Amino acid sequence: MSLRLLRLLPSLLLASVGLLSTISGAQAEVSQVMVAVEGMTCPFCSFGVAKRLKKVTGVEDIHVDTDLGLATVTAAAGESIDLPQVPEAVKSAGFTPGVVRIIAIGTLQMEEGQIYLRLRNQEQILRLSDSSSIASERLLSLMQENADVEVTGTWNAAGTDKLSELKLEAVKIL
Amino acid sequence: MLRFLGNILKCQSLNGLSIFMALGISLAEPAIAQVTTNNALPIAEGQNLIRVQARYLRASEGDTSLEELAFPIILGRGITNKLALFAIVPVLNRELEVDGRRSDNFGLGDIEVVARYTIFQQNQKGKTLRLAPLFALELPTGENEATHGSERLPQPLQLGSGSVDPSLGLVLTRQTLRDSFSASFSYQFNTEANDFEFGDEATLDLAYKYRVFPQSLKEGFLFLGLESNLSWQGQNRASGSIADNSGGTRLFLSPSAQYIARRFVVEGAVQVPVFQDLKGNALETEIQLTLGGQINF
Repeated sequence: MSLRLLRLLPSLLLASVGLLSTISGAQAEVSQVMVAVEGMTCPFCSFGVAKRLKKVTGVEDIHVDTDLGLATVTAAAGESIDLPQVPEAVKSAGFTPGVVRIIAIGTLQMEEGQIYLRLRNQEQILRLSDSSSIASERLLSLMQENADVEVTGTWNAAGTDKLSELKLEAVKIL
Repeated sequence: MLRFLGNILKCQSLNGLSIFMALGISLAEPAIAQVTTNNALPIAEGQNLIRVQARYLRASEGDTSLEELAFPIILGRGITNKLALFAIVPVLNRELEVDGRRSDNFGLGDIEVVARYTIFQQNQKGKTLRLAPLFALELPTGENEATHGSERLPQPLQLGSGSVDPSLGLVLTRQTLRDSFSASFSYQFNTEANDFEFGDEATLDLAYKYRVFPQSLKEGFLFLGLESNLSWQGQNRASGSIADNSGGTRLFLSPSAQYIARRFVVEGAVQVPVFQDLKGNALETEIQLTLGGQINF
């Protein structure tokens, strides 16, 4: 079953699973963020990036790889990384943020044929896009179970309709 | 720009001696500047650094020689992701020998404050291209009323100019994980104080450095580099008259080495004169050595 077919069944899903009515029970957090740092060319530069990333809400551990041009931040236990602050931190260090990949925990929802991930203790909802690599039956099953899932994907702050968008790469049930 | 000592100087009399001297110390900005050349690499907002250099210079002409040991202390802070401010605090010791007679002067030189603002940047994975103008003010914090016996030392021997001297500059840097190139141009407008005015100064510095270690990237990089420093200074004016034996053009080549880690930098350079076209009998620089270090926090 493709995602296009899924869009034909929103009413059925909402009625049968009742996802939107059970949002309060969702468990979600942004546990890890990997951001490409364009323009970072030496260890001194990476120090500046790490210094700014330390100020991001929820961050406990920081690793900056100069060779790969990649910064990885991990949340403290029970905390959630404030996602929009991460590329802003890279900018304030004087560099250009590139692709942002995240690992987030939450529950899947569907509304008007579109699948979303709602983050715990936050109003933010991530629209899941381009999930063709994930078996649609698997997504449906996860929604029906209202299970906590760990989602990996590429985050786009300026997604369509100004809603944060997550290009889905992997989903696993917790 | 960023010269805390006048470039090519003709002294007037000192206890009846006629002294000519030529000096020139260009001071690279922090933020892992190449050793004698400014660069345009960013300092993160809220990031601080302290850079300290030890510079030895020897110049001579006939029976006159000059040795200078300078310790410029550079404090830097990123104000925004584009604006960085620096304060350069030089501590100087000068020893002048004329026909076997020595005199020296030690103390604080003129402090310089520098603002650098990035107006263009193009960032890609592992490479960056940046352009940043500089604006600087050299403040009259150095001693400029020192005497030898009862006679006031001539202005070029004072540690400070006594004047407020603005500078403008522009620096371009292209850096990759493997190498780095910087070009820096600056012009300092020297003003009058104590009835003396140093000639304006212009500098053009070019620097290239190449990472020789490690081959696979780890915490620290070792760079070897070659820098060139071209400087020109106009003629000084004393009591409204042009000092004939002042001003000129010089070119230095400087092999350099830098080890750059996340929190510190260690560096050194040997500045060798390859061309000096000085007016009159100004002292010619023989060599200049620089050792330094930097801490980031």
